[in-house]
Amino acid sequence: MHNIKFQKKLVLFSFLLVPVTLLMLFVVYPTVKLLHLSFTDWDGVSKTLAYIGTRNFKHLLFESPEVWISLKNNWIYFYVHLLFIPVELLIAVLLDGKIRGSKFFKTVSFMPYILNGTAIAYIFSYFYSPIDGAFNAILQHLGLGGIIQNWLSNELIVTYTLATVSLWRFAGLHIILFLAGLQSIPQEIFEAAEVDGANFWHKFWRITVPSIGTVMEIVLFMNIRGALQVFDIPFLITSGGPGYASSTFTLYTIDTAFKFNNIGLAAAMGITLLLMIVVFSWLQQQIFKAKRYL
Amino acid sequence: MKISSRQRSLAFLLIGMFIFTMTLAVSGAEKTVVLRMNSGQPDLEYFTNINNLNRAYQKVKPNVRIELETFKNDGEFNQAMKIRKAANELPEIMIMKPYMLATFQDTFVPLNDLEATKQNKYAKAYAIDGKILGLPSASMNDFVYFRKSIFKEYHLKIPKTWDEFISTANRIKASGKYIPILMGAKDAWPDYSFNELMPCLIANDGKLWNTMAGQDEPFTKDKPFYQAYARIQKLYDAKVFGPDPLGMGFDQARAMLISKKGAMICAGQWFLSVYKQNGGDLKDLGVFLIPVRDRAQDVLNTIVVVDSFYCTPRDNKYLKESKDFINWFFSKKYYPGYMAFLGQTSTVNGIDTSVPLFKEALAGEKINGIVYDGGGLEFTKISSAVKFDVKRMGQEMIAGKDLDQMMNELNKSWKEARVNLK
Repeated sequence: MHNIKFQKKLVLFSFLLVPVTLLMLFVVYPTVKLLHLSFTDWDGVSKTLAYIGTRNFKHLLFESPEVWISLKNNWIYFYVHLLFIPVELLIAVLLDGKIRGSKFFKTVSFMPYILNGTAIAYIFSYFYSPIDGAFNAILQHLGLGGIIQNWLSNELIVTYTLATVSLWRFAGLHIILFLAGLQSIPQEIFEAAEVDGANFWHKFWRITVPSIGTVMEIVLFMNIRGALQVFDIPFLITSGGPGYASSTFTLYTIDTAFKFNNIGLAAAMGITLLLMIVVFSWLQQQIFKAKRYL
Repeated sequence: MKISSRQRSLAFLLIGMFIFTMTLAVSGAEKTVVLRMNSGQPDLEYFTNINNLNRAYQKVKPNVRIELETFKNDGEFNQAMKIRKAANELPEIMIMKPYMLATFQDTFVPLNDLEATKQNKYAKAYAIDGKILGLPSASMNDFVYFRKSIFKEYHLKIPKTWDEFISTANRIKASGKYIPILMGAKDAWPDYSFNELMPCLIANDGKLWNTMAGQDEPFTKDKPFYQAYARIQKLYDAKVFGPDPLGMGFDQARAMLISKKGAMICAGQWFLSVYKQNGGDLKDLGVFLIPVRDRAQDVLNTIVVVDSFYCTPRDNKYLKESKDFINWFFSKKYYPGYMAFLGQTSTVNGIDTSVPLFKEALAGEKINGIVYDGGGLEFTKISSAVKFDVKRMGQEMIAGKDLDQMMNELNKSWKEARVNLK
């Protein structure tokens, strides 16, 4: 008996040893180190550093207007993606039905997600180019030349332009996730509803949407996490410019660390980002929980 | 089958000979030393395809292999080096920009005793506390590259003053056929010819950043930084950079000069090889120095950017091999061809690699070369604290941000940073 217990423990230990070690090494240790650095003035190169208490966090909250511009831009990504979620769901419902060529459309919608980020940046840099740019040419062709803007340089709209690139890239992933959720709904429920005389919208609102709550939670979590961490699209297309107009929190963190030699402040920004993701995800979960009890 | 004692002895002899030969081979062969070195375009083209650096050096040192590492741009390289320094994983040969020297000054080994150092024209000028931490491989002026045929089409002469430069651009703009000056300011760095270098030209001081580090309010109207930026603002306000200069990257701007959609582009000597490599028409390309002066009869200040400092880290386990490589690199065996390919000016005494195109442009002017200093440690500390980024400021000026407001904000934060850093 004692021997079996010991063997069980041994198996558990040996199975957990590798993943726990990896987790400690690559997640727990860097997080603790990040927290440690956030209380220092380390410049990333010197062999010495000084502890400066919470000065980095104070500087971040009260003396860095660029941080707030960047954070505001992160929320633009969040809202643009959020507004598009119903459309993504609707596309998933349509693709889930028996439409001709649905497999082809599923592949096409997922394609941008598997494309390399750098390639996407190059494509859209030329797409939105003010000279010989495809987007302006399309608008001209459609007789909408009057609404042509400086898509990548107008400080008021540049982040929205970049958010549409992000939307183009990630919408396919959301659609596939929604499709997976839709396929898990038993067909009998829809058939029963049809017998009761339900139309497309009745089935959509009363069966589909409530049945994919978990997928919706995942998509919303990904949206919050993705919006707060967005980096490659603004970095590659505009480098956060003009000025800081399209900068994001992560982009500004990288600048702080490497361009302005302030690893301490950048670490404080990293910790703040971590806390923001935890807090907003928790809030979102609470909203979902409250809805379930309604 | 029975093995005879003779056969056994022969087998032992053969095995013994094999072991002896292998031991000799292992002890005789020198250990291969790998020297990692960073490189970007257009240098990479020369180091790999034109005159393979590794093969050329292996003729001299067969046991040394040169491994090239590439980075997208200087910013990415700077970032990667800081991360790798923390992990003690720096490459053995590091090619640094002048502004990086102050930050990494504790990282590099002094090269004062090298033969190549004695022959270098600029190495001493960039020494920090008497220690020569890197040998610059190139020096270059900044020019305005222009399409001769466009100037001919509108009967334009090479501008001699700042106002003439703006009016030349305005005349091209008025035609509506070409973009007068191509910028590619979406990438921020292409405005360096104006926003980074012009304050030093106006101040007639290559070490202006260090001078500013000793002042509380270096951005007031009577100071050279403000005066330079006021001129730049005048140029930007003329809107001679096309319909949307901030919407286009440098790659697009370069392509437009090559396809003759624009008339001028401002860049260092490095641009010539980029233009050639991308199929630009050399017969139609002319250059002139950026005319920052007010009167044509005045001496024309021009920047001399000394660049690409060859350094080696202190913790390098192949220090001797690295120093030997640097010595060889700057010798007549490899360096002249490399400089000629880049179209840049040699930094080594006795090696002349001047390009006729640039020589002609410099010959017709009374010029005063100002050697640009990237800024010392004090400047780096203050500029980091206030997030002083001249290239981003250039973008904001093009976007229409108020110059006086920018300068006032900078004066305030500069003064505060100096107090906090004391």
